[in-house]
Amino acid sequence: MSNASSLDQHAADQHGYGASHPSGILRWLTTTNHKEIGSMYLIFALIMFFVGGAMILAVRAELFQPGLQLMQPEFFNQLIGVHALVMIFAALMPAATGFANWQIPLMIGAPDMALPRINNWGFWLLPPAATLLTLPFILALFGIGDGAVATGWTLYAPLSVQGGMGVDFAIFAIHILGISSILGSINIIVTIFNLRAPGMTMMKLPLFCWGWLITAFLLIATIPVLAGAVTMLLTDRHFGTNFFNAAGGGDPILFQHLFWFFGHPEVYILLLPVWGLMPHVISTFSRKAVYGYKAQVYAFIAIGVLGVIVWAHHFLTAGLPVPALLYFMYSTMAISLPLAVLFFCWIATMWRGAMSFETPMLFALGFIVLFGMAGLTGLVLADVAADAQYHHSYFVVAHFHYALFAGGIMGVMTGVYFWLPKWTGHMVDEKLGKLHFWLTVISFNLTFMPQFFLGLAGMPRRIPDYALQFAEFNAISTVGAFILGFSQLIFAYVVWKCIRGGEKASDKVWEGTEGLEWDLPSPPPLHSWEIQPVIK
Amino acid sequence: MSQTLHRADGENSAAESRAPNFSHEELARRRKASQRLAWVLGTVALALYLIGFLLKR
Repeated sequence: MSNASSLDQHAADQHGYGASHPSGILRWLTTTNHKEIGSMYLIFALIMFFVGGAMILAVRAELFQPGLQLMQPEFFNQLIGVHALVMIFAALMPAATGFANWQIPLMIGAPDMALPRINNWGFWLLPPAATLLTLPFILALFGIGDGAVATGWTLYAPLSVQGGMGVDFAIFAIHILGISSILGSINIIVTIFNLRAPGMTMMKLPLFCWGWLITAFLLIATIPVLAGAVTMLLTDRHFGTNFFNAAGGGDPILFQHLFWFFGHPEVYILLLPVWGLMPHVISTFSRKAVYGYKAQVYAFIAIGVLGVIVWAHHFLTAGLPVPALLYFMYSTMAISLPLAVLFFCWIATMWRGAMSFETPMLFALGFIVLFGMAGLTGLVLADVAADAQYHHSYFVVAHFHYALFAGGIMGVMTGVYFWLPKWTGHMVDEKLGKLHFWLTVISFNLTFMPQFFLGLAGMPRRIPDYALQFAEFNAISTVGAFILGFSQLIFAYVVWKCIRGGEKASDKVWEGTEGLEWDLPSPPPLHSWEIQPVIK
Repeated sequence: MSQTLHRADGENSAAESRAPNFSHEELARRRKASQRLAWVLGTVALALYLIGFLLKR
């Protein structure tokens, strides 16, 4: 630690983190340090995770019984739309960016991100955007406007052309969030390309960095299209254009094409960082080298490429021509091939390994099983004939929560449990971590498994009332959702406890782990890699 | 993963396997290259945003 202290002091001098450096809130407003910015991203994501979670618990409370109990349909629609926008743009994406900020420089042997000031801007654009998303709720309480965006997160026209001022707030929020994402992506790409330690060729790059590299390219390719679409929506609403307004000669389906050209890659944007992180965790707790490093890299690239050419499977029922339906069905199914390669490599890494089941490994295993169900049900939805039955039903809701909660959020939790001891210098409370895992897995399935059956039985999504035949499974789902929601408080407590103190973590933290980042002290000094590592 | 571990001296402590500090020239060169690439990527993103307005259906 004395080495770390001297590095810290040297870094403090170099960065001006001495007596003259701002303290308090100014320090956080002006910081250009990748670890501090990474921490801000992660804390912001955690806060917004609870904000988005509270919204959907209100929705589930309404759905506990048939009939309208707690809220009007308009408010129900607002909660659903903002829940999704918050969870995707303000919780999952910032969490993954927080990981990138913390880990990429440590993993590639770089002193910091390549563009530290842009890094700072990228983060500080997020709070105003999140405020724009949620402010209409508060304004409505004072009689200003008619509440938040009520179109669902997809903002489909013509509903969004006709919607209230919440749509405008969402449009501006999406623009700001998009700028933040593009700044972050540019930073990650240039950091990986230009700041790798000598000897670290692209085929020696840690898989987490590979996952994020593909993600960053996907963001740069698709966010501008979303931004263009919502700008066109804005001009339709206020400046007399008719891009999407059928009454004026526009085409509502065009909006769906533009939205999902972004929206489907967004799924991989949320998941690729997690897929990149999984091999590190699985290999650590299996005490084996990663199986199929190159295969996983090529699978990431294949998924990135296929991800941008399958968008219309989200609206197969919109009346597309048959050749288009066939193309989008087969191309969507083709994604299962590289994904199967990833699953195979993860399982092969564990095969005959000396496995142990610490909290990060439990979350990784939970991720593999539950995310596997998302993949299988995704194949069902990709089938044009079957999708005609399942489209816009609760089957879809269950499917994408298996993808984005079990795949995305549980993946993020895997990363937090895995890296938190490195970041804080303290081990995580294993008992509480395991309790959190089991409560999460059980209540998650209690919440979303019944929704598959509700969807198969024909219950439509985004409707606050339902027929009596759906009552029992909805009640079960709501009970599961509340257990799931409140069990996340354990996660927040474990993180807080770990930051505050606890058993000291060694530099390597986990017995079976390998990688440059574990050479640094726990916690790492403010300025990492003052001395350049060399990869042979 | 394991591919990243083949450092200069193999198995000894991390400090021994590291080269001297980053030189100022090397860091400056990398920063310049980063800025160039960042401008290219930013321009591509802006072009993708603007190009949609020029397309006629």
